[in-house]
Amino acid sequence: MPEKGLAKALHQLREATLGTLWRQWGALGAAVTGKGSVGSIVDPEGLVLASLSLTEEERRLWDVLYWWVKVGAPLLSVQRIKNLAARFPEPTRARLGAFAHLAHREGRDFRWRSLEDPSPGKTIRPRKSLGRDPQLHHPAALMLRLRVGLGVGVKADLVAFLLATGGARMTVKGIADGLSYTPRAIRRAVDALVAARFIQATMGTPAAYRVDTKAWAPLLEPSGKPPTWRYWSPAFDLVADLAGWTGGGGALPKTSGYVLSSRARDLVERHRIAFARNQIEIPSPGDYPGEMYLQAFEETLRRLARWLAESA
Amino acid sequence: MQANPISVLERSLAGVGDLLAAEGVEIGIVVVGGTALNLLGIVQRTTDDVDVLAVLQDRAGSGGVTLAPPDPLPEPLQRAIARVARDFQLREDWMNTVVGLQWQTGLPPGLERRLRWRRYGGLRVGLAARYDLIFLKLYAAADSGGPSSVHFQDLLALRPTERELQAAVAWVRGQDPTPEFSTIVEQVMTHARERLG
Repeated sequence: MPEKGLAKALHQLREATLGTLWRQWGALGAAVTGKGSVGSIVDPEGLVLASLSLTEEERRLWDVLYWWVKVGAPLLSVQRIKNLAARFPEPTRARLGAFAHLAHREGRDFRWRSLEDPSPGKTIRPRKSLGRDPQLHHPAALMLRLRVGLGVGVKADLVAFLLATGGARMTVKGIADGLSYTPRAIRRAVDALVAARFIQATMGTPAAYRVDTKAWAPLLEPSGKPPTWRYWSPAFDLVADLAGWTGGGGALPKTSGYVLSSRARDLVERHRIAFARNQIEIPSPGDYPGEMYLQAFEETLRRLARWLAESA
Repeated sequence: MQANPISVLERSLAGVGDLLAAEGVEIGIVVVGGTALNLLGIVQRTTDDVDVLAVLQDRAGSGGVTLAPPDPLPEPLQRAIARVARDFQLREDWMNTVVGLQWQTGLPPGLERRLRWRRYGGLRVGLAARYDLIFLKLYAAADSGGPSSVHFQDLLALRPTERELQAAVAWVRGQDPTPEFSTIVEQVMTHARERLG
């Protein structure tokens, strides 16, 4: 019965995602229990959106989101979360309205007004204390730390991205895709950062940019090494889409095996970049006609779950 | 090992039916050609072409069957056809309405009363009866390639009686009243009688 295996793989993926989210919140200083360390960079807007996506499955996520509203919302980029949210499913965007409402009312941060939904409709439990201030010296918090130092905006994120990609040469398009800013905004930022000698431009076409990680090493104490970049947002977007598929209870939609396989194929096609950018090898849908794809999809979910568990 | 042509066809039709059912839609189509021959058990040859001659018109409470030209196919059906093509790696036009041109010169009289209906989820498939397929195959054999065509082989597989051939010839001549076409029809008939003994 392929549906049984699929339900199990969905459960594993949800658990792996929740494990990653809790570890990342823990790395930012929330008093939560998340097993394992965090070696890759936290994408703050991606983390908020993924947490909002899974609040039906894990209501405690509202506690940590509320904590973040109080202590960390000013460090979020409203423009970037807006750009990223456009790719997330509707329920996530609706919950972002509730989050923006909290950030505006409770966090006194007026930047969130444009996103706020004054009638969130969902239970938000703002009672539990999850720590006082965000922890910005954890290597995984590099993006937030640079925002504190350079201001919330493209430039801080761009430096974080180039550091976390290990000094690799990146084009404007590659950076824009990775950070979800417009190529125009990235172009302006790289020009300014090159002029300030924060980053280096390489000669050639297309132009590429890198940072000298050694020059930034003192900032990256204690290891001197930057955290690894992961394309979290597209992976979280896929998980959010799947959460909408199955509903809060995690049950598969009641339909034929073939229709299920066809929807699975849609999902993988729609989220191809989550796998491509993170170099997660998955079975090719074209090799599995019709309902046969269900088993390959199950394997796809398992590989994504493994990647999430290993990449946090 | 090659897949059974009937199971391949039914798998594709069932896929369309499942997708329509998931949308809460029910659509009826009339199918002729190789698919009808396969599903009626008259021939067993590989085909993934489904020739749609007509769509079933929704006439609530009318009791009888009312057919309409198939072009354009209803949108939910078009979407399901495209999706099945992607999912089973079929040609985009694996289910097509080319044969619907037959409406310009007329269908075999009474075809709608003799249809054999099958249900695949939200898809109802009316298979043209053997009698009507004799008409259509004789016309196709005369119209494209004569006795060497696959249509002629299909006509033989239908094992028409002399009376059925006579009725079919009268209808086919009405499709194209030119003397040239009449000659070709005669040639096909002669070959058919020889082969059928």
